Amino acid sequence: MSDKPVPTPSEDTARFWEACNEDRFVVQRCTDCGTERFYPAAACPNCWHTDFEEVELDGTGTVESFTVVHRAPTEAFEADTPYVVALVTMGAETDVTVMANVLADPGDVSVGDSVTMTWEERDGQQLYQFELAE
Amino acid sequence: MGSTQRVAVTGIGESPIGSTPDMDSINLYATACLEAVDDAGLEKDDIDGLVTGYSLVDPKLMHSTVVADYLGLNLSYNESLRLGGATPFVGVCHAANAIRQGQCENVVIAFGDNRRTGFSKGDGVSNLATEVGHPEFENPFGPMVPSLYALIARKHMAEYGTTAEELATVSVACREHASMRGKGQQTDPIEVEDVLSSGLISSPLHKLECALISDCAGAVVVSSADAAADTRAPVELTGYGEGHGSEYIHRRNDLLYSPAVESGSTAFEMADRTPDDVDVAQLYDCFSITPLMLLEDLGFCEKGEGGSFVRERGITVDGDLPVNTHGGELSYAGAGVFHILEAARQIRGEAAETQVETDVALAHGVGGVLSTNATLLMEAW
Repeated sequence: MSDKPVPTPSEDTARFWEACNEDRFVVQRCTDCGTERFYPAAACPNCWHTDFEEVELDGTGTVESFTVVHRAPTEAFEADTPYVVALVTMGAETDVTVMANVLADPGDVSVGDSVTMTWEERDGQQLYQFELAE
Repeated sequence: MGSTQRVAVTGIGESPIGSTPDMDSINLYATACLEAVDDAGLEKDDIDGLVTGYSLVDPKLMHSTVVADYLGLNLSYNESLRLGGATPFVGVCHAANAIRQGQCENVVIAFGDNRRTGFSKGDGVSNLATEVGHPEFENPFGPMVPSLYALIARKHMAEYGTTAEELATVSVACREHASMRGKGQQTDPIEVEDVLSSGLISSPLHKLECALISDCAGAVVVSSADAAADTRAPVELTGYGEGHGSEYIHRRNDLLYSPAVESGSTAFEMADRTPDDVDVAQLYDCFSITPLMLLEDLGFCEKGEGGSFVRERGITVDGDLPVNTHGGELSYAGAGVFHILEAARQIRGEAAETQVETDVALAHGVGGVLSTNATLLMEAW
């Protein structure tokens, strides 16, 4: 068992986390206005339309910003310090930004870096993470 | 009574600050309320409105009702408000609106908690961390609360060339003011080098760039024009505004924008003032990046120029725009409510060693990750 937090899926997010368990990162795209939304929700935050299609992103992204955590928020993260928490803008054609760790030497990470998605297993749940692109 | 009725800040009060293990959260609230009402020259029975925040240490379903019960208040306006650090600032806005609608005459707005001694040390950090980040889509990756602001700071540095020294200067200025006043949780003067060598918490933010965790409460009385006539030293609340944005940092379309843009412009328009008119600014300083962003978003300088503003124009009492003349959350105490008190003190001429010549004072509060914002403008009655 990991002491680190494991997501507890809700009615809204269960399909997302199930897809993660197939190593697929999917977002909802509004069938009315086309806005891609992350996190999953019952209605489009742009137009409140409730129908959506599921779109799988290709896992490429750009580091919008990052921080190196030296003081862990909880004991569970202490062994990992210093580690990188980043905001990653996904792909070229989405507005989706996700937070995750960049699994790299903190000194090697910069704003604007290209990253690709990778997966970490945590208590039976696949969790999306990033590594620096080749 | 029309919507243009003048409203005043008539009283300010605060509990002991720092470590007060003998006082629980409600006791801190009550102590601040009693002092504020006494400072106004009002009596218990004059108070017909109450806005309180909340307690993480001792949560209550109906916090303001609990405080009213403790103090034996009879209220026609009663609000428990929970908008993070913006809570007392938004509370003043709501109180002013309620007074202008004729619902009440004298409202006490109080905010505080005993987070320093009420939690064990590790619990306090963990509790704050899990309060702020998204439980499914942020917290599994281990951000601290400082990390969420550090993401803004890093972006600001990358986009505008803002330096670590410029950020550290915010902490140094706050400490200089607390030191001059000789009151606050941290009063020993510091230099930029002290900040940069204080240890990284979440890069680029160092320990001395993070707000203190304190036992404390502050309270302010807002009154109608009629009621203010009988008070000791009323200060006019000439403008106020709110601006609300996304709670979670990963949902922000633009990391370098905050809804302070909206709260500020609303307040300035109401007061028929501009940023140039402001003589002293009490800017929420949970982290060093926050006042720097607020200087830009409130219109004191262009976007991206917060760093050079701090470095070249100056934010100490000798600078172009003195900021946090009490020491802020970085040095005085870890709650933004004291920014409101200090704005009133500056207008009254009661700011002691850091008094500046003030016609217009601004106080600005932030909740979440620059999520919820409220701006207050005060002038002589």
